[in-house]
Amino acid sequence: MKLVVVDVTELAPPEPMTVIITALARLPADHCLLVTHRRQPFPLYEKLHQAAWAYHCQVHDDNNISLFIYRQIDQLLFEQHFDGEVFNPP
Amino acid sequence: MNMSGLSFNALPPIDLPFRFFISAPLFIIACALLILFSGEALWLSRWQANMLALTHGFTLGFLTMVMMGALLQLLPVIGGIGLAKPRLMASTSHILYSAGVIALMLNFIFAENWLTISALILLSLGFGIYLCAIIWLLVKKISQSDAINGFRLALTSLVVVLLLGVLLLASRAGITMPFTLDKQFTNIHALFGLVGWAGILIISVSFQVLPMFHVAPNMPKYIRQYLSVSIFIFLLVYMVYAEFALGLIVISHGVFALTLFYVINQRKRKIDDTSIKYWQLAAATLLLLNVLYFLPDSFYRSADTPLFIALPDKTMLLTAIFIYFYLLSVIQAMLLKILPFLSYTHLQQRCLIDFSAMQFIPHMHEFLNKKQGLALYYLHILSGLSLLAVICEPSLYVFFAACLLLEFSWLLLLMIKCMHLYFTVSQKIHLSNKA
Repeated sequence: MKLVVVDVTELAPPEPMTVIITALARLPADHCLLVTHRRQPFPLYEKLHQAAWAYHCQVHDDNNISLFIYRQIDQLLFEQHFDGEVFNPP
Repeated sequence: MNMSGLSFNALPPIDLPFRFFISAPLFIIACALLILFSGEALWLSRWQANMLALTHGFTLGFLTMVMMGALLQLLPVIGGIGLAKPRLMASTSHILYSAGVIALMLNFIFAENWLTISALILLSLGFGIYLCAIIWLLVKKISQSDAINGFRLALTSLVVVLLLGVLLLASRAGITMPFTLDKQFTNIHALFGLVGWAGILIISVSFQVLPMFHVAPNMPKYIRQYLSVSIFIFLLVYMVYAEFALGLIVISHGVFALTLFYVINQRKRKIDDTSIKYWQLAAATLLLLNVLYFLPDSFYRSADTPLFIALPDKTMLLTAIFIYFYLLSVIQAMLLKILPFLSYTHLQQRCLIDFSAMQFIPHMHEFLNKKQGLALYYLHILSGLSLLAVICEPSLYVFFAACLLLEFSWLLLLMIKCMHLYFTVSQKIHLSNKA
């Protein structure tokens, strides 16, 4: 599984969501989107689930999170590649 | 590490906060008509019956109405969790609350017992349903961030305001109280409403809104941790040592104002933004209030004033400035951000299921045009200045009423335009999904 990385830390709403949706629309099969963000996009989570995406969030501090988004069918693949690995902020 | 898998509620349906938002300017338009028909006498004292109707129209009809709608959306965004049965709760509380505020205003104007009792029942039920739902959430389910802790203090203040208000109304309806409800009692009611409920809520919201919407740094940690709680403690002290506590409350807001200026100045992207202008106006207002509060009494209503003109009644002047230039400014700053953001976000989230629907979503600025937002800001300053003018010279009341009508009809129009665009695009996406 390969990572596609987007950094939305310096974007004001709703640009982070636009970047994430555009990246997901283009995400190749067997790939995972890694989003670097300042805060957890809580309202996005349930919608991701409904749209057959899975996510995994690592909170580094008050102002820095890493959010992994991948297709639900790739859950095993994600766990094989990244489970337990902490992605430190750049 | 924060693992996924928690069950998060999505944002509540957009029409729920919208109905709170769109009701709010209607109350100010009603207030403008009240000013127009009340004449100069309205401005003689804060205890005038129509003045009480006016202040409650502003504080409950506009400020609290918007904040109730905004909290419905802010809690899922900030805390990661929404309300259970939001449609039932929000619809019921909105209808009861709106009817309650109308009954309350009419009760002050016409002094009819049945209006007082109606206001008592409707407001208690409207507030009660809303508060139970939100308090249940804040007690049980949500995270412990500084903003959320501030929300808890603000809502506690609202409960105090509501209880004192119920006692005052019950007394007005002729129910005998075991203690005297004097002017100090009313002052506590007013201060907990303006500083505790509205003020602490605004401070707490700023901890989230400024970094989130304006890519500003977080407020300093000690401000986030201690400011809201200090103000709440000063409010409690006010019940015993009024003068001493009031000074500390004013100074605390001065500290908040300086922090606001600092954070706004540290933004990464210093884009020209009307919401930021509103926040700066609000911060400057708090500093001005510090100056006005600590001016010697000889400056107010005195022939010995060192100024070319004596300032009007201190309480009325400071309260009017606090409500109009601080509270209303921040509320409008938030509306200018929240209305287009919510419309855009709700539509955008539907694109996760069908990416092609992105083509239907207009640019966010189309929901609320920048120039139209700026026009609202200038109208707000104009009507604020006309308020100061009418406090100094009550015969100018027609000017103030006209400015209010203009400003809040414009705000109403901007809201309708934004909501209309939302529902038009939503319909397009719906039809495209069907096809």
